[in-house]
This record gives sequence, structure tokens and C-alpha cells, in this order.
Amino acid sequence: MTLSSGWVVTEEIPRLPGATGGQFSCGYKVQKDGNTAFLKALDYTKAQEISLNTGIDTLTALQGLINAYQFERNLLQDCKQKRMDRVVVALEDGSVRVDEGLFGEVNYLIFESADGDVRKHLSLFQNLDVIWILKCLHHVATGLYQLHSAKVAHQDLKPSNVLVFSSNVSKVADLGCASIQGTISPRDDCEFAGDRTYAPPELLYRSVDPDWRRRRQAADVYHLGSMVTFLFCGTSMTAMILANMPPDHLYPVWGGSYSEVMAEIRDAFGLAVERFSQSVPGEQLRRVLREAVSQLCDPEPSRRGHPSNRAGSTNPYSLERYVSLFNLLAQRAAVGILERK
Amino acid sequence: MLFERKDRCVIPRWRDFKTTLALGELRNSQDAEPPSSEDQEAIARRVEEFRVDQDIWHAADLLSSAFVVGDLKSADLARDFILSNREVAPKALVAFASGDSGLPADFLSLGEDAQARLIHKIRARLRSEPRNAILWVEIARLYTLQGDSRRALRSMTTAAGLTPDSRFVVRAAARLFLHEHDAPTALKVIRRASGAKRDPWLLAAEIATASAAHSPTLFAKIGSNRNDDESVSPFARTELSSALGTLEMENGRMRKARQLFRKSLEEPNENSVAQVEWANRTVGGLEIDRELLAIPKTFEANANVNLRAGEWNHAIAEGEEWLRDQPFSRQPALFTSYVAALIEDYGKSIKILKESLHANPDDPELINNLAFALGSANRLDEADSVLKRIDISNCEGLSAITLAATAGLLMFRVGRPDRGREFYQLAITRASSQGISKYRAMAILYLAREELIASTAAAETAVNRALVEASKIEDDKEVALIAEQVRNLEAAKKSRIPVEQVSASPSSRKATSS
Repeated sequence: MTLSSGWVVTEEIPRLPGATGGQFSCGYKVQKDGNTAFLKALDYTKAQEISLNTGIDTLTALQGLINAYQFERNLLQDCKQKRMDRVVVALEDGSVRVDEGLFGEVNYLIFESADGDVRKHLSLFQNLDVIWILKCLHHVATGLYQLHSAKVAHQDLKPSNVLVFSSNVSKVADLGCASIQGTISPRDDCEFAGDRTYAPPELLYRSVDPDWRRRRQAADVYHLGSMVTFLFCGTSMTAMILANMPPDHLYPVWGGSYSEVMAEIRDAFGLAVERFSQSVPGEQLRRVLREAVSQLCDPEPSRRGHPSNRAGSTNPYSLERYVSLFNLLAQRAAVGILERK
Repeated sequence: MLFERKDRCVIPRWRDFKTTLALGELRNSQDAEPPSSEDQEAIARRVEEFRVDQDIWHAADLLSSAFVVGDLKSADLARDFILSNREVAPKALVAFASGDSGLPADFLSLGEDAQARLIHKIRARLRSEPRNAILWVEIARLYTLQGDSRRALRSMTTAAGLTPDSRFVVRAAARLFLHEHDAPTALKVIRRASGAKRDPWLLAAEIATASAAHSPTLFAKIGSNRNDDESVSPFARTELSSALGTLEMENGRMRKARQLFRKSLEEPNENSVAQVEWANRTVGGLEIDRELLAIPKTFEANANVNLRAGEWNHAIAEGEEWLRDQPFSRQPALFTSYVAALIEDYGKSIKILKESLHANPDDPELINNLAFALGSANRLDEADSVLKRIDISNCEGLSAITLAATAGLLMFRVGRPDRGREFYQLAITRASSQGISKYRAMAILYLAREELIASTAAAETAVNRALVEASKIEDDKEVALIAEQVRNLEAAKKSRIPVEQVSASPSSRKATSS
């Protein structure tokens, strides 16, 4: 099939059996002028599946799918317009008629094709490639910074949402769970919009702050810190915190509030940071990253981020300083003035 | 010697974090929340991704995700892969997969070192974790043991400021502030906690702390409602029932008090067992099953039960355990030193009291007991200088009785029996006026003992009077023991056996000869 813009659909990407979430469950490879890209199509039939699973009526489910598609499409257009070069933006969006009838017209988004996500890339190396990791962190921090500058919180940063491109550039992908400050976003009603398996601890313990920044941008800041721990030791910060929690105090069985469990969370967090820092090679890098992770993943959202941001009138969750930090560390590592063993 | 407690409240115990946790006193459980359908979808997706790309990093992603939502089957799938391919996995990931903390043992072992080294280690951790309230509480406890109340209070204030809602922190803070005779701050810390009106452990702490400070409780009504709430587990409300029972007892409503104490024993902790053991001496009708004396850390109750039964060595052994469990507390030190002195093991008594005085430097009762033990061991200069530390004008009640008796003992031992008799008489008069026949009998017995040791002309009369007084106190093994010691001493005098060789218990010979 050839789309009106000249893209030729070449291959369907098989849907993974577990991949029932999200509104775009159909993926295709498309080609044009020798370039390969990835097409995500909105699957209207998913409305019935949602209706069966959640009990809401099909019409509401369909409305939700359309809203989500429009939200992501508009957001991607906005990101493209703002030249966010560390965010995976859509090359094109549109619709194509594939069949007769009401649902015969399919809406789609076309994205540049990545080599894979960070997990796939890291598997190429026998040992940790510190320079690559630091560059990747610089790109991810930049991507989040670009989104935050547009008052957008990503809310779902995790290893599978950091895509690596052939030019060795990493970008933040999947804005399906994003939230825009001052507007209503499709996932705003959810306790936690993103993947709960990577959620910051306050959200696991059902502490939902009404303040948009403290709830949503603070989660991004935490996710960036968690990405640092994943890239260096293969474990998310949330998993490391929970591994150090007393079993009686784990979120599925905790009957109290988040502030009541804060002492135990802090203690577990301290051990998690220590564990992370011991996996970072080189004294200097260890010291700097330990401090950064402590700030980025602070269990109290109000204390998350760079301390200097809190002192001034700037956004306390501004990632600008971390963009500079990871850039500096990557450059130092590249020219060999950062101890890496 | 003094150890009797006129008042006992279920003040929260202050132990190290791990012990408190192991005792279940920090639990706040609800029925386990099952993984949501979204969580299940996320894990299913990750499992499939791992099946497609079977490498370490997809396994790592799966392990983290499955661990967070508690999907053990999927976690095991990833774990097995990581451990089978450990040579290409980051060390920290292998440690995580094998359930190892990945941290050096020395970093984690906060409970096995000497105090100074432990303080050093905690301070080192606090430099990188300045907001870790649990560490601040731990270090406050160690400073308390060293008698450094300034640092202890500062550390605890920091902890309470950092996590004002944590049950562990709030209860420990209340205990420390009470230890430092600052009940208003103890109550403030409890009352400002967000769970103060809901959490049965904090309600109990508020009621007990107010009781101990003789100030009105604000949460008795709320506590009573919560105590009747069947959704609260019997273990979670044990101290609350006990605190309310004590309150009823203070107000003279013994029947209601008994009901509440019985409720506290449905699933008690050691503190509520000790409270019932103590309360039973006043309200009666509360039998403590032997199995309750076997619950963890029931040292206080066991020590008291053994004392009442005249099992002196068992009482001392339990007292020493109690002291190890609550090393900064004066009560176990008073108790154990008292029993040791009863069986004339003054060496042990002196050692315990001197150590406890580090954490309680100006405690008049500890000082008095130390002076008594030193005097009885004929270490008179030390006894004299110790006794001078007490501000006599502040002593009242039981302390006033024992202080006069100790002064009497020292006067006898320095060769001034006339003054000694006057002081003993003062103690006897004070005990009589307070209606404490046991202390009156003990003062008369110890006066007789001193008359015998000093070989005065009044010895025989004093002994006869003492034994008559002792016989009036029924079923009191302590009085009986001292009476026996006096009788043995009298017999030895008559047989011209040296005083040092006379004792009711074998351990005393060693103590008096040292």
C-alpha cells in the first residue's frame, strides 16, 4: 500500500502477545526514497476490547481512543515545530482509507526508525561503555528538558522509551502518557499516567500531589535518575528502593500514608544510592553521579531536583543543570580526563 | 535501696530500628493489593520483549518491573537468565538478582559494634544521607547511652523534624523527651503526627505519656473509640488498651481497668504484659498465663515475677536482659541492682548502677542505691561522695525514706551509731507516715543489721524488734530474705564468726570481701 505522501507500507510488525496496552496496537515498516520509518496506526477495534476489559461502553472507549490520538498527534506536531531534537517526533501524520464503512479510514503517525532502544544497544557491549552511557544520559536529559520547556511532562520514561538511532543519538520516545500544563490530557485522571513498574515511590504509595509540577515533572526528574541507575547497574531505582524496604512496609500491604512510611523509604533509598554508587567505575564519576542520583530520585517530590533550583525562582524541576552535567561528564570521559576504572 | 514503682505507664519502648521492626510494632498492614490489569499488561509486554530479545538488559528490565509489582514468576524468569549469564551482567544486577544487598557487610552491620565505633559509622552514613531519620534516631539512642543528652536531643529533634509522621521516630522521640523530663515536647511530637488520632500505637503513646507527666490526655476519647474498633488488630491495640486501662486505674475505676487490661492481653507485646504484671499488684484479678511470659523481650515482667517468687538469680538474669534491651532506662538498673544488693552481691549492684548513671547522671534514686551498695561493701569514701550528689531538698515519697536509711547506714559504718540511729528512725517515721509497711520493716531490719555489725548494746533489742516487724509482713520474700540475713548475722555474732563470712546468699561473701 502506498500512502498519499509517498510512503510505502512494506511490512507489518507483529504485535507482541502481551502488548494490549496503548491505543496504537498496529505497527508497520514504511519506506520512501530509501529511508525506512515506523508507522503506528490507530486501531478502532481496540474500543471493543477496552469496553470488554473495563466495563465502559464502546462509544466512550472509542471517544477515548480518538482523544488520545488527537492529543498525541497535536503534541508531536508542537514538538516538531519547537525543533525538539532529542524527542522522537512524527515525520508525518494523516489518514488512509483501507476499507469501506465507518472504520475503514485509519489514522496514523509515522516516526523515524530507530535501531532499537537502550536495552538492545547495551546488549552489544560486553562491558559498560561509560562514554556511551553518559552521552545517552545527556541526550535523554536534553529531551526531557525540551519537553519541560514546552510545559510538557513525559511521565513514562523507561528503558524501552529511549530509542537509539544509527547516528548514536538517543531520543525520548512515546508521548502517549504525557501531560501538558494547563490543559486536559487523556491520562490526567489516572493515579499514575505512565508505567507503574517504573513509578516513583510516592505514586506507588498513592500520594498524589495536586500541584502539576510536583506530580508530573517531578516524576520525570525521578525517571531520569532511575535511568541513570538502570544504565549503570541494570536495575531501576524503584526496584532498588523496594528491595531494601521491610516487607511489612511494601506499598501493596502498607495501610498508612506516604509520610508515615517516609522514614523507612529514606533508609531504603540511602542503601539503594550506596548500592548504585558502588557500581559506578571511577572515584570522581561515582561521587558526581551519586550526588546527581540522590537529587534526581529524592523520595520527597518537593525536594527532588537540583538544590540550587529550589533556592531561586526558577522551576525547581528544571533539568538544565543535569543536561550540562551529563554533557560535561561525557566530554571528559571521551577525552580521557575522567577516571573510568 | 529502692526500686518499687508507684506509677507505671505503657511508655513506648525505644529499641534499635531492626529490633522494633522484628517485633512487629511498626506494622500498618492492609490486605495485599493485587497487581492491576495495567501492571499485568506491562509485565506481559516485558516478558514478550524478553522472549524476542533474550539478553541481559531485557532480562534486567523485566526483573526490575516484575519485582516492583511483585510478580515473582516473571521475576524468576529474568533472575534465572541473569544468574546463568552473570559474566556479561553488571555486578550490581547479579547481586540484585541473587537477593544480595550488594553492599559490604561492614556498611550494614549497625548492631554489633562498640558504641563509639557505631557512632562513627552512623555519622559517616549521615554525611551522605542527612535526611535519614532512622539513622538520627539510632545515633540519638547511642548518645543517650553515653549520657550525652545535648547531642541526643539535637539528633532526635532533627529526626522528628524530618519525618514527623513516622511511628518509629515519633515513639522514640516521645521516649527520649520523657527520659529527659521534657513531657511537653514529648506530647507535642506525638500530637502533631498526622496519624496521632488514628494510629493505635500513637494514641497509646499520647495517653501513656500524658499519664506519666500527670497532665491531661487529649486523645482518651478517640483512643477509646479506636480501641473498640474491631478492624484494628488485637496486637495493634494492645498498648492502647493497656494505656486506657492504666487511665481507668488512676481514676479508681478498677472494674473497667481490669476489662481493658484483659483486652490488652488478647495479643500483647512485652510492654503490655509488664503493665498488667504491675497493675495486678493494685487491681488484682489479672492472671498472666505462663505463655505470655514467653513472648519476645518479656524481661521486665519475668524479672518481677521471679522477684515476687523469691527466685533471686532468675530475677537478676531477667533484669540484666531487660537492661540490655532498654540500656538507657533507669528502671531495669534500679531493679537489677536492688535484687543484687538484696542477695548482698554489692559488686554487681555497683557495676550496674555506675553504668546506668552514664545515661541518667543525676538520678537521685540511682545515686541513693549506689551509695547504699558502696556503703554495704564498706567503700565508705566513695559512698559519701556519691551521696553528696543528691539534692536532698528535692527528695520526697519513697526516695525520702531510702535516702534517710542510706544516710543511717553510712553513719553506722563510719562509727557514728547515734547519728545512724537518728537517720534510720527518720526513714521509719517517713515510711510509717506514708503507710508503706514494707519499707518500714526493711528500714527496721537494716537498722538491726547495722547495730549487729557495729556490735552496739542496742543490737539485741533492735533485732528482736526487727524480726517482729518482719513477721507482720506476710508473703514478702524480700523482707523475709533480709530477716533471714539478720538472723544469720545474730547467730554468727553469738558464735563469734567474723561478720564477713555471714550471709544469706553465697554471692555476698565475694562482694563484701572485695
